[in-house]
Amino acid sequence: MERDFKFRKRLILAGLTLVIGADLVLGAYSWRLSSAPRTPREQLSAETQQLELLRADIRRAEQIKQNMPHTKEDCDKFESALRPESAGYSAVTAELGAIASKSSLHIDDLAFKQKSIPNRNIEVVDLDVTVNGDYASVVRFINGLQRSESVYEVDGLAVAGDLQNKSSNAAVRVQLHMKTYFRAV
Amino acid sequence: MRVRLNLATNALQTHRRFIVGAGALALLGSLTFAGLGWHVYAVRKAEAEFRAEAAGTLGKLAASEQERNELERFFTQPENARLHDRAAFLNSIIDARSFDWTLMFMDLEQVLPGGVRVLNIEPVQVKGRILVRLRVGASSEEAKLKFLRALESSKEFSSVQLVNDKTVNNSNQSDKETLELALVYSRI
Repeated sequence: MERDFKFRKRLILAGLTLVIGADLVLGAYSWRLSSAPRTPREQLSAETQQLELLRADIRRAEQIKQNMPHTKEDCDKFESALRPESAGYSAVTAELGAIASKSSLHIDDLAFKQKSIPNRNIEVVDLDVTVNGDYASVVRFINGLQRSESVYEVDGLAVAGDLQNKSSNAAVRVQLHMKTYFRAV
Repeated sequence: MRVRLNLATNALQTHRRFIVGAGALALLGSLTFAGLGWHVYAVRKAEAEFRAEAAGTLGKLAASEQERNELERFFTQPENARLHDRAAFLNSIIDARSFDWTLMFMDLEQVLPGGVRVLNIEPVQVKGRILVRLRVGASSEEAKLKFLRALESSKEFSSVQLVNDKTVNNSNQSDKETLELALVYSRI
């Protein structure tokens, strides 16, 4: 009986040793696993953010790519709406005269300077227009230029006289620097 | 008559303490093993998920990079680059033309006091902002200061910089000083 128990005791002790040993091994493995170096969360979130930006870029580019035929049509439409170089000067002179007369203004001087734009089917014409009239007429004239179906790009204006003196009808002399565009033929 | 006799040859030994102690230790060891096992499983699972997520993100990033490179190649093709350049040029004309001079004159009227007049004005569009170079003549110091204060407190004109303030020596002119200013004009 006692002999039998000794054997059982040994078996129990061996089992216990096995369990404790397994605990130690698993504990060591768990500690190693927890302290092992790994990709930080910050790096992943930075990569995710980079991916989102890249995708937004791609969406934008895809949209531009899809709209390209439409963009080409718009460009053609805009360019064909420009006056042809061959008949440009007469048309511009006539139109500016009409706008000036409608604005009760007198054009004193009109100077043109045509330049070619390389690799484009367009000619740019610098215009220096000197007009004489009161403040309201000058504003009406500029407004008329902006409302015109032709392209007039007003770059700046220089004034001789008090432009803001709108209470009186004092005449001012205004020099407008502008640009218009002709279609090269 | 009954007599209770102990006929054992050895003294009775109880193993209860050993069995209870061993049982308790076995239970504790097993619980520890289960806890550690669960911890290892959870850490490994989380790590595997994280690795899968990181690998997925890197894969998507590489695919997107490739897609972008293809699009870049498409846009750098001579025909497409020419169209892009042409559209940008025509848009710059449309932008410059869309500047509302009438509205700017109306806003300028609000800040110009008596005795100050506009001599020169040049608006330029830069990156969607309208930078204005303005030259005015002032008949007196008081009018000049009044104009500068009005400009500085204006909502439409901002980032006002006085570039030059010059006294006019010619006594025939009504302007005693001319001011050159750089400012930003916006209607928001």
